[in-house]
Amino acid sequence: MRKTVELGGWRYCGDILPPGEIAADPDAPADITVTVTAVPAMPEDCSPGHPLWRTLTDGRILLSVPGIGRFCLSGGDRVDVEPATGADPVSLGLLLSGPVLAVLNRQRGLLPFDGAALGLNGGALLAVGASGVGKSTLAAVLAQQGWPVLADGVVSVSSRKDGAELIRGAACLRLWRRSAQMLGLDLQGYPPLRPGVPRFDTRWSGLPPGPRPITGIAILLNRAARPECERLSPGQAVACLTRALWSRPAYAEDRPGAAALIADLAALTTSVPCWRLTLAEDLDAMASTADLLKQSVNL
Amino acid sequence: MSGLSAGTTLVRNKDMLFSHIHHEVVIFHMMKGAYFSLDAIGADIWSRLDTPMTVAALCDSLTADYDGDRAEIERDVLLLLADMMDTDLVIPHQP
Repeated sequence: MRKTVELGGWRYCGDILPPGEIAADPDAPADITVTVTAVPAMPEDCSPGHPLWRTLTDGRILLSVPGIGRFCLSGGDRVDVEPATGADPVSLGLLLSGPVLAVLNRQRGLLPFDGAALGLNGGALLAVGASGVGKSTLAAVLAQQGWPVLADGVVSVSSRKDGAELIRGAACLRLWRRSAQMLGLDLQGYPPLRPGVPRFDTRWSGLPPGPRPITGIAILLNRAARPECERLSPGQAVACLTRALWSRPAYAEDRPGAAALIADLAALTTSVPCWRLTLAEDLDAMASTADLLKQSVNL
Repeated sequence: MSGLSAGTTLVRNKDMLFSHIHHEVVIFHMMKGAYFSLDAIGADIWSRLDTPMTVAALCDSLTADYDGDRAEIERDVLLLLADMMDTDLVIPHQP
C-alpha cells in the first residue's frame, strides 16, 4: 500500500519507504515517488565502471546492490525499485534515505553532502565529511549547548554564485549508542533504526522549515591526537569537499559530471568560509573540538 | 621515487580535468577518481607545463618571475613536481 511520509524534510510517496519516517499529509505533493517495478539489469558492457553505480544511455542512474535490490533514478524525483528476493525492507529503506536521495539531489542540481547542519546567526553551519568520523556527535555536542539542529544525513545544498542555501532538513541526529551514552542521552523512546544495530534517530530543538543561507562549512576528514582547525582557501575546500559528498561515483566520475561538480563546489567555496576540522581521536574530547570550531567561526 | 633531475622534461597530463578558482587550480584525476588542489604558485607551474619543459628551464623561468634564491626555488619545485608525478598530474615528456 502506498503511503506518504516525511523524513529529513523530504516527502516520500511509495510502496517502500525509509525507516524513521513520520506520517505526512497524503494530499501534499511528494518530492520523491518510489515505485516497485522491474528495473533494468546492470549493463554488461566492457567499460570498467563502478561496481554499484552505472549511468544508462538515457541518463537514468542505476544502483545495483547484491542481495538488496536495484534502483533506477530519474528526474530528481522518481525511484523505481526491484527488490532482490528476500531483501530486508529496512536495508531498502536506508538506501532510499541515503545514497539514493543523494543522487536525486544531484539530479536536481543540488550538492548532497554527508553531514549535519546547525543554526548559526540566522543561517546554517555545516559539519560535513568522511563517514563515521563523528559529524553527528559533534553536532549533538553543539546542540546540547543550545544550537538548533537543522539537518543530518544527506545535507542538501543549493550553490549559486550569489550564495548557498541549505534546502531541507529536520531536527534529528542519527547517533550510535556509544555517542549517545557519552553525551548522557536517554535513548528510551528511540527505537533502533534496525533491530540489533545500536543506532538511533534522536530528536532535538530546531528551527521552522525553510531554506537557510549557509554561514560556514567545517570539513571533518580524519582524527588526530589533538583537535585542529584550519581555514581553507576556495581551491583547497573544493578538493576536500569532494570527499564529503554522498554517492559521488554515481554522478562525478566522468568529465561532464566532474566539471559540473567542480563548478558548483567552486561557487560554494568562494561564497562561504570553509575550515578543515580534525577531530580528537578520543570521542570524550569532542567538547574541546566543538570549542575549537566555535573559536574558528568567531563565537 | 620520481627520479627527477634538472634535465627531466615534464608536461602536464592531458587526461586531467582542471578548473581555475581564483588563483588556484583544482584537478580531477578521472582514473583515480581523486581531486587535487594547487595553490597560486602550483597553479602557475601547472600552466607553464602546458608545454613540455625541463625542470631546469622551469626553475629558470620561475626564478625570473618570483623573488627568491634559485637553489631554494629549485628545491621547492622538485618537491612539488615529485608529488605531482606520484599522482600522475605531470608526466615525463617523450619527444
